[in-house]
Amino acid sequence: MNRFALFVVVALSGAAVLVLEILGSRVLGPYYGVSLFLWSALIAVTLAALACGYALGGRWATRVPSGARLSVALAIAGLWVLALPLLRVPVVHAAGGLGPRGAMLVAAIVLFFPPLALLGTVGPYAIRLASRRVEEVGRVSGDVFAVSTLASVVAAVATGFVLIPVLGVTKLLVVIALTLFVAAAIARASAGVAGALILLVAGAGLAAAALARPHRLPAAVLADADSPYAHVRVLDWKGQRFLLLDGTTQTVVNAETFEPRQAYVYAAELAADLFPGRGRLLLLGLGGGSTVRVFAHRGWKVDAVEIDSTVARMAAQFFRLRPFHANVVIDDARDYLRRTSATYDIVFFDAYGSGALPFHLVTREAFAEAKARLAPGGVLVANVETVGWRDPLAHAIVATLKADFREVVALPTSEPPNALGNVVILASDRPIEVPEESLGDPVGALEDDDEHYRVISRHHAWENRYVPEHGRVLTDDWNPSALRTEAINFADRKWTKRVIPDSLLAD
Amino acid sequence: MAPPSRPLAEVMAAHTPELMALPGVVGTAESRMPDGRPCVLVMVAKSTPELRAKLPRELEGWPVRIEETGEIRAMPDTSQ
Repeated sequence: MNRFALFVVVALSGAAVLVLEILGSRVLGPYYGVSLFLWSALIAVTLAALACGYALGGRWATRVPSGARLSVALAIAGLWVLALPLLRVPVVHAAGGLGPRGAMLVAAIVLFFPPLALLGTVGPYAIRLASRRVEEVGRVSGDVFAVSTLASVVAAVATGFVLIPVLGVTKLLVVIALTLFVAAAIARASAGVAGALILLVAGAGLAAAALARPHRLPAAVLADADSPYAHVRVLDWKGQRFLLLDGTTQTVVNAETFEPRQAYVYAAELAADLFPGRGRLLLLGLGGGSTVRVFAHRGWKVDAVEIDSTVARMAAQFFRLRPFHANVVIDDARDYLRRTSATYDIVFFDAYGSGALPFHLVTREAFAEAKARLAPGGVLVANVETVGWRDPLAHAIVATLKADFREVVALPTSEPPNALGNVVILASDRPIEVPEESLGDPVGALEDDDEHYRVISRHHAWENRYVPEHGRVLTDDWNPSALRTEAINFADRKWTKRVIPDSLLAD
Repeated sequence: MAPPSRPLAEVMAAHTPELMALPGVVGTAESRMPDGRPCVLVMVAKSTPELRAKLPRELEGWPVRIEETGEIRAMPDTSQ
Protein backbone atom coordinates (compact mmCIF):
# COMPACT_ATOMS: atom_id res chain seq x y z
CA MET A 1 0.00 0.00 0.00
CA ASN A 2 1.24 3.47 -0.93
CA ARG A 3 2.94 5.06 2.06
CA PHE A 4 1.47 8.51 1.57
CA ALA A 5 -2.02 7.05 1.33
CA LEU A 6 -1.36 5.04 4.46
CA PHE A 7 -0.38 8.15 6.40
CA VAL A 8 -3.54 9.91 5.20
CA VAL A 9 -5.53 7.00 6.63
CA VAL A 10 -3.59 7.25 9.89
CA ALA A 11 -4.25 11.00 10.09
CA LEU A 12 -7.97 10.64 9.41
CA SER A 13 -8.42 7.89 11.99
CA GLY A 14 -6.29 9.75 14.56
CA ALA A 15 -8.45 12.84 14.09
CA ALA A 16 -11.64 10.78 14.39
CA VAL A 17 -10.51 9.37 17.76
CA LEU A 18 -10.25 12.81 19.37
CA VAL A 19 -13.42 14.16 17.78
CA LEU A 20 -15.32 11.13 19.10
CA GLU A 21 -13.84 11.48 22.58
CA ILE A 22 -14.80 15.15 22.83
CA LEU A 23 -18.16 14.60 21.18
CA GLY A 24 -18.89 11.96 23.78
CA SER A 25 -19.50 14.73 26.29
CA ARG A 26 -22.20 16.15 24.01
CA VAL A 27 -23.78 12.82 23.22
CA LEU A 28 -24.10 11.90 26.92
CA GLY A 29 -24.09 15.36 28.53
CA PRO A 30 -27.82 15.98 28.06
CA TYR A 31 -28.52 12.85 30.12
CA TYR A 32 -25.86 13.02 32.84
CA GLY A 33 -24.46 16.56 32.81
CA VAL A 34 -20.95 17.42 31.67
CA SER A 35 -19.14 16.73 34.89
CA LEU A 36 -15.77 15.61 36.14
CA PHE A 37 -17.21 12.10 36.26
CA LEU A 38 -18.42 12.09 32.66
CA TRP A 39 -15.05 13.29 31.41
CA SER A 40 -13.30 10.67 33.54
CA ALA A 41 -15.55 7.97 32.07
CA LEU A 42 -14.98 9.15 28.50
CA ILE A 43 -11.21 9.41 28.85
CA ALA A 44 -11.03 6.01 30.55
CA VAL A 45 -13.15 4.38 27.85
CA THR A 46 -11.12 6.00 25.07
CA LEU A 47 -7.80 4.84 26.52
CA ALA A 48 -9.10 1.33 27.25
CA ALA A 49 -10.52 1.03 23.74
CA LEU A 50 -7.28 2.22 22.17
CA ALA A 51 -5.29 -0.23 24.28
CA CYS A 52 -7.48 -3.09 23.06
CA GLY A 53 -7.27 -1.80 19.50
CA TYR A 54 -3.47 -1.62 19.63
CA ALA A 55 -3.24 -5.20 20.89
CA LEU A 56 -5.73 -6.59 18.39
CA GLY A 57 -4.40 -4.50 15.50
CA GLY A 58 -0.88 -5.74 16.10
CA ARG A 59 -2.01 -9.35 15.99
CA TRP A 60 -4.22 -8.92 12.92
CA ALA A 61 -1.48 -7.05 11.09
CA THR A 62 0.97 -9.87 11.78
CA ARG A 63 -1.43 -12.49 10.44
CA VAL A 64 -3.07 -10.67 7.51
CA PRO A 65 -1.26 -7.42 6.61
CA SER A 66 -3.48 -5.91 3.92
CA GLY A 67 -5.07 -2.58 3.24
CA ALA A 68 -8.32 -4.36 2.46
CA ARG A 69 -8.54 -5.73 6.00
CA LEU A 70 -7.74 -2.33 7.42
CA SER A 71 -10.55 -0.83 5.36
CA VAL A 72 -13.03 -3.25 6.93
CA ALA A 73 -12.17 -2.03 10.44
CA LEU A 74 -12.53 1.60 9.34
CA ALA A 75 -15.83 1.00 7.56
CA ILE A 76 -17.32 -0.79 10.58
CA ALA A 77 -16.19 2.09 12.81
CA GLY A 78 -17.88 4.51 10.39
CA LEU A 79 -21.10 2.50 10.47
CA TRP A 80 -21.06 2.48 14.27
CA VAL A 81 -20.59 6.25 14.40
CA LEU A 82 -23.51 6.71 12.00
CA ALA A 83 -25.64 4.57 14.28
CA LEU A 84 -24.78 6.51 17.47
CA PRO A 85 -27.76 8.90 17.28
CA LEU A 86 -30.06 5.87 17.05
CA LEU A 87 -28.28 3.90 19.78
CA ARG A 88 -27.92 6.52 22.47
CA VAL A 89 -31.50 6.76 23.74
CA PRO A 90 -32.02 2.99 24.18
CA VAL A 91 -28.55 2.64 25.72
CA VAL A 92 -29.10 5.51 28.16
CA HIS A 93 -32.49 4.10 29.17
CA ALA A 94 -31.11 0.58 29.58
CA ALA A 95 -28.32 1.89 31.81
CA GLY A 96 -30.71 4.01 33.83
CA GLY A 97 -30.88 1.73 36.85
CA LEU A 98 -27.14 1.71 37.49
CA GLY A 99 -26.90 5.00 39.36
CA PRO A 100 -25.34 8.13 37.85
CA ARG A 101 -21.72 7.02 37.79
CA GLY A 102 -22.41 3.43 36.71
CA ALA A 103 -24.88 4.52 34.05
CA MET A 104 -22.58 7.07 32.42
CA LEU A 105 -19.67 4.63 32.46
CA VAL A 106 -21.71 1.80 30.92
CA ALA A 107 -23.27 4.13 28.33
CA ALA A 108 -19.81 5.43 27.40
CA ILE A 109 -18.50 1.86 27.05
CA VAL A 110 -21.39 0.60 24.93
CA LEU A 111 -21.52 3.61 22.64
CA PHE A 112 -17.86 4.50 22.21
CA PHE A 113 -15.68 1.48 22.99
CA PRO A 114 -16.37 -0.44 19.73
CA PRO A 115 -15.54 2.33 17.21
CA LEU A 116 -12.56 3.57 19.24
CA ALA A 117 -11.14 0.05 19.57
CA LEU A 118 -11.45 -0.41 15.81
CA LEU A 119 -9.65 2.90 15.26
CA GLY A 120 -6.98 1.73 17.69
CA THR A 121 -6.14 -1.09 15.29
CA VAL A 122 -5.09 1.39 12.60
CA GLY A 123 -1.73 2.35 14.15
CA PRO A 124 -0.14 -1.10 14.42
CA TYR A 125 -1.68 -2.08 11.11
CA ALA A 126 -0.19 0.97 9.43
CA ILE A 127 3.23 0.29 10.97
CA ARG A 128 3.17 -3.25 9.63
CA LEU A 129 2.05 -2.16 6.15
CA ALA A 130 4.53 0.70 5.90
CA SER A 131 7.56 -1.26 7.14
CA ARG A 132 9.40 -3.03 4.38
CA ARG A 133 12.42 -3.99 6.45
CA VAL A 134 12.92 -4.62 10.15
CA GLU A 135 15.45 -1.76 10.28
CA GLU A 136 12.66 0.64 9.29
CA VAL A 137 10.25 -0.31 12.03
CA GLY A 138 11.48 2.23 14.57
CA ARG A 139 11.27 5.16 12.17
CA VAL A 140 7.97 4.09 10.64
CA SER A 141 6.29 3.56 14.00
CA GLY A 142 7.57 6.94 15.16
CA ASP A 143 6.14 8.58 12.03
CA VAL A 144 2.80 6.79 12.44
CA PHE A 145 2.46 7.88 16.07
CA ALA A 146 3.50 11.44 15.19
CA VAL A 147 1.06 11.79 12.29
CA SER A 148 -1.79 10.25 14.28
CA THR A 149 -1.14 12.43 17.32
CA LEU A 150 -0.75 15.62 15.28
CA ALA A 151 -4.05 14.90 13.53
CA SER A 152 -5.60 14.39 16.97
CA VAL A 153 -4.25 17.76 18.11
CA VAL A 154 -5.77 19.54 15.11
CA ALA A 155 -9.04 17.67 15.59
CA ALA A 156 -9.20 18.49 19.30
CA VAL A 157 -8.85 22.21 18.66
CA ALA A 158 -11.22 22.20 15.70
CA THR A 159 -13.88 20.18 17.50
CA GLY A 160 -14.24 22.45 20.49
CA PHE A 161 -13.62 25.76 18.79
CA VAL A 162 -15.42 25.27 15.48
CA LEU A 163 -17.07 21.97 14.68
CA ILE A 164 -19.48 21.49 17.60
CA PRO A 165 -20.67 25.12 17.66
CA VAL A 166 -21.09 25.25 13.88
CA LEU A 167 -22.33 21.77 12.99
CA GLY A 168 -23.93 20.48 16.16
CA VAL A 169 -23.69 16.90 17.36
CA THR A 170 -25.69 14.97 14.79
CA LYS A 171 -24.11 16.51 11.70
CA LEU A 172 -20.65 16.18 13.19
CA LEU A 173 -21.21 12.47 13.79
CA VAL A 174 -22.13 12.12 10.12
CA VAL A 175 -18.98 14.03 9.13
CA ILE A 176 -16.84 11.68 11.24
CA ALA A 177 -18.53 8.64 9.73
CA LEU A 178 -17.99 9.97 6.23
CA THR A 179 -14.35 10.67 7.07
CA LEU A 180 -13.92 7.08 8.18
CA PHE A 181 -15.51 5.78 4.97
CA VAL A 182 -13.08 7.94 2.98
CA ALA A 183 -10.21 6.48 5.02
CA ALA A 184 -11.58 3.00 4.41
CA ALA A 185 -11.77 3.67 0.68
CA ILE A 186 -8.17 4.90 0.61
CA ALA A 187 -7.05 1.77 2.47
CA ARG A 188 -9.11 -0.42 0.14
CA ALA A 189 -7.71 1.22 -3.01
CA SER A 190 -4.53 -0.84 -2.74
CA ALA A 191 -6.57 -3.92 -3.47
CA GLY A 192 -8.55 -2.42 -6.31
CA VAL A 193 -10.30 0.79 -7.27
CA ALA A 194 -13.70 -0.86 -7.59
CA GLY A 195 -13.83 -1.81 -3.92
CA ALA A 196 -12.74 1.68 -2.92
CA LEU A 197 -15.44 3.25 -5.06
CA ILE A 198 -18.07 0.96 -3.57
CA LEU A 199 -17.00 2.01 -0.07
CA LEU A 200 -17.09 5.69 -1.03
CA VAL A 201 -20.52 5.46 -2.65
CA ALA A 202 -21.90 3.39 0.23
CA GLY A 203 -20.49 5.80 2.80
CA ALA A 204 -21.80 8.85 0.98
CA GLY A 205 -25.22 7.21 0.57
CA LEU A 206 -25.47 6.27 4.23
CA ALA A 207 -24.29 9.71 5.31
CA ALA A 208 -26.85 11.37 3.04
CA ALA A 209 -29.56 9.09 4.43
CA ALA A 210 -28.52 9.96 7.97
CA LEU A 211 -28.66 13.68 7.18
CA ALA A 212 -31.97 13.32 5.39
CA ARG A 213 -33.50 11.48 8.34
CA PRO A 214 -36.17 13.86 9.54
CA HIS A 215 -35.05 15.51 12.75
CA ARG A 216 -38.31 16.98 13.86
CA LEU A 217 -38.31 18.57 17.24
CA PRO A 218 -41.54 18.38 19.18
CA ALA A 219 -43.64 21.52 18.76
CA ALA A 220 -43.03 22.41 22.41
CA VAL A 221 -39.30 22.73 21.76
CA LEU A 222 -38.68 26.30 20.60
CA ALA A 223 -34.93 26.10 20.15
CA ASP A 224 -32.17 23.56 20.34
CA ALA A 225 -28.50 24.36 19.90
CA ASP A 226 -25.03 23.14 20.74
CA SER A 227 -22.86 25.91 22.09
CA PRO A 228 -19.17 25.58 23.01
CA TYR A 229 -20.28 25.11 26.62
CA ALA A 230 -23.49 23.11 26.66
CA HIS A 231 -26.44 21.65 24.85
CA VAL A 232 -29.01 24.44 25.07
CA ARG A 233 -32.75 23.89 24.71
CA VAL A 234 -35.74 26.16 25.13
CA LEU A 235 -39.20 24.65 25.51
CA ASP A 236 -42.72 25.47 26.62
CA TRP A 237 -44.52 23.05 28.88
CA LYS A 238 -47.72 23.49 30.86
CA GLY A 239 -47.71 27.26 30.70
CA GLN A 240 -44.05 27.64 31.61
CA ARG A 241 -41.00 28.35 29.48
CA PHE A 242 -37.83 26.46 30.35
CA LEU A 243 -34.18 27.05 29.50
CA LEU A 244 -32.34 23.75 29.81
CA LEU A 245 -28.56 23.40 29.79
CA ASP A 246 -27.34 19.85 29.26
CA GLY A 247 -30.76 18.59 30.26
CA THR A 248 -31.09 20.40 33.58
CA THR A 249 -33.28 23.37 34.36
CA GLN A 250 -31.60 26.75 34.26
CA THR A 251 -34.51 29.15 33.95
CA VAL A 252 -38.27 28.84 34.33
CA VAL A 253 -40.70 31.66 33.59
CA ASN A 254 -44.42 32.05 33.10
CA ALA A 255 -44.74 31.50 29.34
CA GLU A 256 -47.29 34.29 29.00
CA THR A 257 -46.01 37.01 31.31
CA PHE A 258 -42.32 36.00 31.37
CA GLU A 259 -42.25 36.53 35.14
CA PRO A 260 -39.88 34.15 36.97
CA ARG A 261 -41.18 30.83 38.28
CA GLN A 262 -38.15 30.06 40.42
CA ALA A 263 -38.35 31.09 44.05
CA TYR A 264 -34.63 31.74 44.27
CA VAL A 265 -34.91 34.78 42.01
CA TYR A 266 -37.18 36.43 44.56
CA ALA A 267 -35.07 35.27 47.48
CA ALA A 268 -32.10 36.96 45.83
CA GLU A 269 -34.19 40.06 45.17
CA LEU A 270 -34.29 40.52 48.97
CA ALA A 271 -30.70 41.77 48.70
CA ALA A 272 -32.06 44.83 46.91
CA ASP A 273 -34.26 45.54 49.94
CA LEU A 274 -31.11 46.12 51.99
CA PHE A 275 -30.58 49.34 50.04
CA PRO A 276 -32.73 52.46 50.36
CA GLY A 277 -32.89 53.15 46.63
CA ARG A 278 -31.64 51.92 43.31
CA GLY A 279 -28.20 50.45 43.05
CA ARG A 280 -25.86 48.69 40.74
CA LEU A 281 -25.86 44.90 40.28
CA LEU A 282 -23.20 42.68 38.79
CA LEU A 283 -24.81 39.38 37.83
CA LEU A 284 -22.41 36.53 37.14
CA GLY A 285 -24.42 34.06 35.06
CA LEU A 286 -27.21 35.44 32.90
CA GLY A 287 -29.20 32.30 32.10
CA GLY A 288 -32.61 33.26 30.76
CA GLY A 289 -32.31 36.71 32.30
CA SER A 290 -34.99 36.36 35.02
CA THR A 291 -32.84 37.96 37.71
CA VAL A 292 -31.80 40.77 35.40
CA ARG A 293 -35.38 41.64 34.62
CA VAL A 294 -36.43 41.62 38.30
CA PHE A 295 -33.65 44.00 39.32
CA ALA A 296 -34.03 46.15 36.19
CA HIS A 297 -37.73 46.61 36.91
CA ARG A 298 -36.74 47.98 40.32
CA GLY A 299 -34.58 50.55 38.55
CA TRP A 300 -31.25 48.88 39.24
CA LYS A 301 -28.44 49.26 36.73
CA VAL A 302 -27.31 45.77 35.80
CA ASP A 303 -24.15 44.38 34.24
CA ALA A 304 -24.63 40.70 33.42
CA VAL A 305 -21.67 38.45 32.63
CA GLU A 306 -22.41 35.26 30.71
CA ILE A 307 -19.74 32.94 29.36
CA ASP A 308 -21.98 31.40 26.71
CA SER A 309 -23.14 33.73 23.95
CA THR A 310 -25.70 31.14 22.84
CA VAL A 311 -27.37 31.40 26.24
CA ALA A 312 -27.35 35.20 25.95
CA ARG A 313 -28.96 34.93 22.55
CA MET A 314 -31.62 32.55 23.86
CA ALA A 315 -32.36 35.01 26.68
CA ALA A 316 -32.85 37.78 24.14
CA GLN A 317 -34.77 35.72 21.63
CA PHE A 318 -36.98 33.60 23.86
CA PHE A 319 -37.05 35.19 27.34
CA ARG A 320 -37.66 38.84 26.47
CA LEU A 321 -34.33 40.11 27.72
CA ARG A 322 -33.86 43.53 26.18
CA PRO A 323 -30.76 45.72 26.03
CA PHE A 324 -32.30 48.27 28.40
CA HIS A 325 -32.51 45.57 31.08
CA ALA A 326 -28.77 45.04 31.31
CA ASN A 327 -25.38 45.54 29.78
CA VAL A 328 -24.51 41.97 28.81
CA VAL A 329 -20.85 40.97 28.73
CA ILE A 330 -19.72 37.69 27.21
CA ASP A 331 -16.86 36.60 29.44
CA ASP A 332 -15.79 34.23 32.20
CA ALA A 333 -16.97 35.56 35.56
CA ARG A 334 -13.59 35.56 37.28
CA ASP A 335 -11.87 36.98 34.25
CA TYR A 336 -14.38 39.83 34.30
CA LEU A 337 -13.97 40.37 38.05
CA ARG A 338 -10.22 40.74 37.59
CA ARG A 339 -10.59 42.98 34.54
CA THR A 340 -13.28 45.41 35.57
CA SER A 341 -12.70 48.57 37.57
CA ALA A 342 -16.39 49.15 38.26
CA THR A 343 -17.88 48.86 41.75
CA TYR A 344 -21.26 47.36 42.56
CA ASP A 345 -23.74 47.34 45.43
CA ILE A 346 -24.49 43.68 44.80
CA VAL A 347 -22.37 41.00 43.15
CA PHE A 348 -24.55 37.96 42.49
CA PHE A 349 -23.00 34.57 41.69
CA ASP A 350 -25.75 32.87 39.68
CA ALA A 351 -23.56 30.64 37.55
CA TYR A 352 -23.89 27.45 39.54
CA GLY A 353 -25.78 25.22 37.13
CA SER A 354 -27.28 22.04 38.47
CA GLY A 355 -25.66 20.06 35.67
CA ALA A 356 -22.20 21.21 36.64
CA LEU A 357 -20.78 23.62 39.20
CA PRO A 358 -17.91 25.78 37.93
CA PHE A 359 -15.60 25.01 40.84
CA HIS A 360 -13.50 28.15 40.29
CA LEU A 361 -16.53 30.28 41.21
CA VAL A 362 -17.10 28.81 44.69
CA THR A 363 -13.72 29.44 46.23
CA ARG A 364 -12.43 31.91 48.75
CA GLU A 365 -10.29 33.48 46.03
CA ALA A 366 -13.30 34.00 43.73
CA PHE A 367 -15.32 35.58 46.53
CA ALA A 368 -12.36 37.81 47.44
CA GLU A 369 -12.18 39.04 43.85
CA ALA A 370 -15.91 39.78 44.00
CA LYS A 371 -15.55 41.55 47.35
CA ALA A 372 -12.92 43.82 45.83
CA ARG A 373 -15.58 45.03 43.40
CA LEU A 374 -18.19 45.71 46.10
CA ALA A 375 -18.94 49.27 47.17
CA PRO A 376 -18.82 49.95 50.94
CA GLY A 377 -21.82 48.18 52.49
CA GLY A 378 -22.18 46.00 49.41
CA VAL A 379 -23.66 42.52 49.43
CA LEU A 380 -22.40 39.35 47.81
CA VAL A 381 -25.15 36.93 46.80
CA ALA A 382 -24.67 33.29 45.84
CA ASN A 383 -27.40 31.02 44.51
CA VAL A 384 -26.70 27.32 44.83
CA GLU A 385 -28.90 24.35 44.05
CA THR A 386 -28.95 21.85 46.91
CA VAL A 387 -30.76 18.80 48.16
CA GLY A 388 -32.26 20.30 51.31
CA TRP A 389 -31.45 23.30 53.43
CA ARG A 390 -28.65 21.50 55.24
CA ASP A 391 -26.84 20.34 52.13
CA PRO A 392 -23.07 20.12 52.73
CA LEU A 393 -22.50 22.31 49.70
CA ALA A 394 -24.47 25.17 51.27
CA HIS A 395 -22.50 24.69 54.50
CA ALA A 396 -19.22 24.82 52.60
CA ILE A 397 -20.12 27.97 50.65
CA VAL A 398 -21.29 29.69 53.84
CA ALA A 399 -18.04 28.72 55.59
CA THR A 400 -16.09 30.06 52.63
CA LEU A 401 -17.95 33.38 52.70
CA LYS A 402 -17.60 33.66 56.46
CA ALA A 403 -13.84 33.70 56.01
CA ASP A 404 -14.08 37.20 54.52
CA PHE A 405 -17.49 38.64 55.46
CA ARG A 406 -18.82 39.58 58.90
CA GLU A 407 -22.45 38.63 58.20
CA VAL A 408 -23.64 35.59 56.26
CA VAL A 409 -27.26 34.43 55.99
CA ALA A 410 -28.74 31.50 54.06
CA LEU A 411 -32.23 31.82 52.56
CA PRO A 412 -33.84 28.48 51.68
CA THR A 413 -36.44 28.07 48.95
CA SER A 414 -37.24 24.35 48.92
CA GLU A 415 -40.18 22.87 50.76
CA PRO A 416 -40.10 20.48 52.55
CA PRO A 417 -36.65 21.34 53.94
CA ASN A 418 -35.07 18.12 52.69
CA ALA A 419 -36.22 18.58 49.08
CA LEU A 420 -34.28 19.66 46.03
CA GLY A 421 -34.25 23.44 45.72
CA ASN A 422 -32.07 26.48 45.96
CA VAL A 423 -30.35 28.15 48.85
CA VAL A 424 -29.57 31.81 48.34
CA ILE A 425 -26.69 33.03 50.49
CA LEU A 426 -26.19 36.70 51.36
CA ALA A 427 -22.84 37.94 52.68
CA SER A 428 -21.82 41.42 53.73
CA ASP A 429 -19.79 43.39 56.23
CA ARG A 430 -22.96 45.23 57.22
CA PRO A 431 -25.96 43.88 59.13
CA ILE A 432 -28.33 41.90 56.89
CA GLU A 433 -31.84 42.89 57.96
CA VAL A 434 -34.73 43.07 55.53
CA PRO A 435 -37.60 45.20 56.80
CA GLU A 436 -40.68 43.05 57.36
CA GLU A 437 -42.92 45.54 55.59
CA SER A 438 -40.93 45.25 52.37
CA LEU A 439 -41.65 41.54 52.03
CA GLY A 440 -45.09 42.21 50.60
CA ASP A 441 -48.63 41.19 51.50
CA PRO A 442 -49.47 37.62 50.40
CA VAL A 443 -53.21 38.18 50.77
CA GLY A 444 -53.15 41.47 48.92
CA ALA A 445 -51.27 39.80 46.06
CA LEU A 446 -53.78 36.96 45.62
CA GLU A 447 -55.34 38.41 42.50
CA ASP A 448 -52.05 38.45 40.59
CA ASP A 449 -50.67 34.94 40.33
CA ASP A 450 -47.12 36.07 39.48
CA GLU A 451 -47.03 38.66 42.26
CA HIS A 452 -48.47 36.19 44.74
CA TYR A 453 -45.73 33.69 43.87
CA ARG A 454 -43.15 36.45 44.31
CA VAL A 455 -44.41 37.56 47.70
CA ILE A 456 -44.79 34.02 49.02
CA SER A 457 -41.26 33.19 47.84
CA ARG A 458 -39.84 36.26 49.59
CA HIS A 459 -41.65 35.51 52.84
CA HIS A 460 -40.62 31.86 52.81
CA ALA A 461 -36.98 32.64 52.15
CA TRP A 462 -36.63 35.40 54.74
CA GLU A 463 -38.70 33.83 57.51
CA ASN A 464 -36.71 30.59 57.27
CA ARG A 465 -33.28 32.22 57.13
CA TYR A 466 -30.52 30.39 58.93
CA VAL A 467 -26.76 30.27 59.24
CA PRO A 468 -25.16 26.91 58.44
CA GLU A 469 -22.37 26.26 60.93
CA HIS A 470 -20.49 23.20 59.76
CA GLY A 471 -18.53 23.58 56.58
CA ARG A 472 -14.98 23.74 55.39
CA VAL A 473 -13.60 26.66 53.42
CA LEU A 474 -13.29 25.97 49.69
CA THR A 475 -10.21 27.33 47.93
CA ASP A 476 -8.72 27.21 44.45
CA ASP A 477 -6.37 24.59 45.88
CA TRP A 478 -8.88 22.45 47.82
CA ASN A 479 -12.33 22.18 46.32
CA PRO A 480 -14.15 18.83 46.29
CA SER A 481 -17.49 20.41 45.35
CA ALA A 482 -17.82 18.08 42.35
CA LEU A 483 -18.32 15.18 44.76
CA ARG A 484 -21.43 16.84 46.14
CA THR A 485 -22.79 18.32 42.92
CA GLU A 486 -23.06 14.85 41.42
CA ALA A 487 -25.84 13.98 43.87
CA ILE A 488 -27.52 17.34 43.29
CA ASN A 489 -27.25 16.89 39.54
CA PHE A 490 -28.86 13.46 39.81
CA ALA A 491 -31.69 14.80 42.00
CA ASP A 492 -32.27 17.68 39.58
CA ARG A 493 -32.53 15.30 36.65
CA LYS A 494 -35.07 13.18 38.51
CA TRP A 495 -37.08 16.30 39.31
CA THR A 496 -36.87 17.54 35.71
CA LYS A 497 -38.09 14.17 34.43
CA ARG A 498 -41.08 14.41 36.74
CA VAL A 499 -41.94 17.88 35.43
CA ILE A 500 -41.10 17.55 31.74
CA PRO A 501 -41.71 14.48 29.54
CA ASP A 502 -38.64 12.58 28.37
CA SER A 503 -39.58 13.24 24.76
CA LEU A 504 -38.95 16.96 25.28
CA LEU A 505 -35.75 16.74 27.28
CA ALA A 506 -33.37 15.33 24.69
CA ASP A 507 -33.42 13.63 21.30
CA MET B 1 -10.23 52.06 11.80
CA ALA B 2 -9.94 55.08 14.10
CA PRO B 3 -9.12 54.33 17.73
CA PRO B 4 -12.10 54.36 20.10
CA SER B 5 -12.86 57.75 21.57
CA ARG B 6 -15.12 56.55 24.40
CA PRO B 7 -15.62 53.38 26.43
CA LEU B 8 -17.23 50.33 24.85
CA ALA B 9 -20.18 50.37 27.27
CA GLU B 10 -21.05 53.95 26.29
CA VAL B 11 -20.80 53.15 22.60
CA MET B 12 -23.02 50.10 23.11
CA ALA B 13 -25.62 52.14 24.94
CA ALA B 14 -25.61 54.77 22.19
CA HIS B 15 -25.89 52.41 19.24
CA THR B 16 -27.92 49.48 20.57
CA PRO B 17 -31.33 51.02 19.76
CA GLU B 18 -30.44 51.45 16.08
CA LEU B 19 -29.01 47.91 15.93
CA MET B 20 -32.08 46.45 17.61
CA ALA B 21 -34.28 48.25 15.09
CA LEU B 22 -32.92 45.99 12.35
CA PRO B 23 -35.17 42.94 11.81
CA GLY B 24 -33.28 39.81 12.85
CA VAL B 25 -31.12 41.43 15.53
CA VAL B 26 -32.08 39.93 18.90
CA GLY B 27 -29.54 41.47 21.24
CA THR B 28 -26.16 43.04 21.80
CA ALA B 29 -23.38 42.35 24.26
CA GLU B 30 -19.81 43.24 25.05
CA SER B 31 -17.54 40.47 23.89
CA ARG B 32 -14.14 39.81 22.42
CA MET B 33 -12.81 39.16 18.93
CA PRO B 34 -10.94 35.88 18.37
CA ASP B 35 -7.69 37.81 18.87
CA GLY B 36 -8.87 39.06 22.28
CA ARG B 37 -9.78 42.64 21.34
CA PRO B 38 -12.96 43.89 23.02
CA CYS B 39 -15.83 44.24 20.58
CA VAL B 40 -19.54 44.82 20.15
CA LEU B 41 -21.31 41.48 19.76
CA VAL B 42 -24.47 41.63 17.70
CA MET B 43 -26.61 38.55 18.27
CA VAL B 44 -28.79 37.66 15.32
CA ALA B 45 -31.58 35.15 14.86
CA LYS B 46 -30.26 34.17 11.44
CA SER B 47 -27.09 35.49 9.89
CA THR B 48 -28.21 36.28 6.33
CA PRO B 49 -26.12 38.17 3.75
CA GLU B 50 -28.81 40.88 3.70
CA LEU B 51 -28.61 41.39 7.46
CA ARG B 52 -24.81 41.30 7.52
CA ALA B 53 -24.75 43.96 4.81
CA LYS B 54 -26.83 46.26 7.00
CA LEU B 55 -24.70 45.85 10.10
CA PRO B 56 -21.64 48.05 10.62
CA ARG B 57 -18.16 46.55 10.76
CA GLU B 58 -17.16 48.88 13.54
CA LEU B 59 -18.77 51.38 15.87
CA GLU B 60 -16.77 54.42 16.91
CA GLY B 61 -13.54 52.47 16.65
CA TRP B 62 -14.78 49.29 18.31
CA PRO B 63 -14.99 46.22 16.06
CA VAL B 64 -18.40 44.58 15.56
CA ARG B 65 -18.82 40.83 15.64
CA ILE B 66 -22.00 39.23 14.32
CA GLU B 67 -22.92 35.94 15.91
CA GLU B 68 -25.40 33.22 15.27
CA THR B 69 -23.80 30.85 17.74
CA GLY B 70 -24.63 27.25 17.18
CA GLU B 71 -27.35 26.04 14.91
CA ILE B 72 -30.72 26.76 16.42
CA ARG B 73 -33.25 24.33 15.12
CA ALA B 74 -36.29 26.22 16.13
CA MET B 75 -39.68 27.65 15.54
CA PRO B 76 -39.68 31.39 15.04
CA ASP B 77 -39.34 33.59 18.08
CA THR B 78 -42.59 33.62 19.99
CA SER B 79 -41.65 36.13 22.63
CA GLN B 80 -41.90 39.29 20.54
